[in-house]
Amino acid sequence: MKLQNNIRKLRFEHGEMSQQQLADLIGVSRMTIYSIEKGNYVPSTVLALRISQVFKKPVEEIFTLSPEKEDQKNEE
Amino acid sequence: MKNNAAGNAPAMRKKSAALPFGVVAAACVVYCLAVYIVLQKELVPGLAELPPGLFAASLVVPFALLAAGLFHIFLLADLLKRLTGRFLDSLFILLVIASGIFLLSDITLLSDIGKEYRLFDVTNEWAMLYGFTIFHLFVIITGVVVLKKRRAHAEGKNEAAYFTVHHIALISGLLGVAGVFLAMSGAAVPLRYATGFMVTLAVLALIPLLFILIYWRLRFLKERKKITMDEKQASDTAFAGLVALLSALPVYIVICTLDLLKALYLPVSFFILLLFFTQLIVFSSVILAKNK
Repeated sequence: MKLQNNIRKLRFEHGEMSQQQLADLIGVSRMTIYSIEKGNYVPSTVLALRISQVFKKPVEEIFTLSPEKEDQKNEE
Repeated sequence: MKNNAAGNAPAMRKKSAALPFGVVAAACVVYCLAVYIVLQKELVPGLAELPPGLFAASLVVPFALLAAGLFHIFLLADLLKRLTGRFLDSLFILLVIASGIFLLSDITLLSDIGKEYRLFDVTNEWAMLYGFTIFHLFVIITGVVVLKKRRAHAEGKNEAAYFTVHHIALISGLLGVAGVFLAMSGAAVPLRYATGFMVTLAVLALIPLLFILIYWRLRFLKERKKITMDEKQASDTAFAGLVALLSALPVYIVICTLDLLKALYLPVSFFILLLFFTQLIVFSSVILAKNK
């Protein structure tokens, strides 16, 4: 199972926030935000909660686990 | 976000001061080069004393070197204040530090030439002096161009410092490996001096890395207070450390085995330094690869 997110969409919905701006708000580097959006890095619970506070949405609306069948289809 | 309007004015004033300072520093280095060329022709073993004009001209050289050195410090301070985290910028910081170190070497070389020209062949010393001087000129001219083009503010300073450290670590590792092989090849110095020469080159290769590490720690100690890396950077560092350790273990085993069998024909210090620098290369390469 893979962790997916819609951070990029939420950034644009919140005044076209840049990765750097989001990174500054939650106290990480821009590369960390980039890696999370690309699915290359799984954030810690604390970081996920900070992101949810910025966008004022529950963590479950920002991060989702993709089902196994979708993973297999993507790999094929 | 900070207001750029208030910050632009000081940055613009600094840019306008850099150009004349850089031109003066470049002119000083060109002056030194001209004096060296004339001096080399005049300093022959049978020389009683220097012509008065040349003697007076050579008295200016220390001040010219001082001006060049001050510009190096000014340039380095500006580069560190505006870190970008790009590889070429990190490479240039290393070149500025190296050029600054070689300025001190210029003084040593001039002193050696002055003491030895009557009895020994000092052609190699002159060659090194010319090489270093041309290197200083390249750094100064490039520095002026860089200062003119740089942005007024750098974003993501801690991230920029993080990448700069690893770029410089990678280059230092490569220089260290090259230095170790150069020392042990016997091409630069006789083999009986190879170990000392190799250690000297290793220290020189590490100076830029130590400098930038100390700067990173001091610069962001106030801002971050407790941490200088975010969670992903810390995770990448741990992973890179593991990879470096795993890649080094087989090599350690081979070295120890060869040493026990008395099959090592080079001193152990060679292998230890080689291993250290290759681990540095592996460590920083892994981190940079994970952040492409």
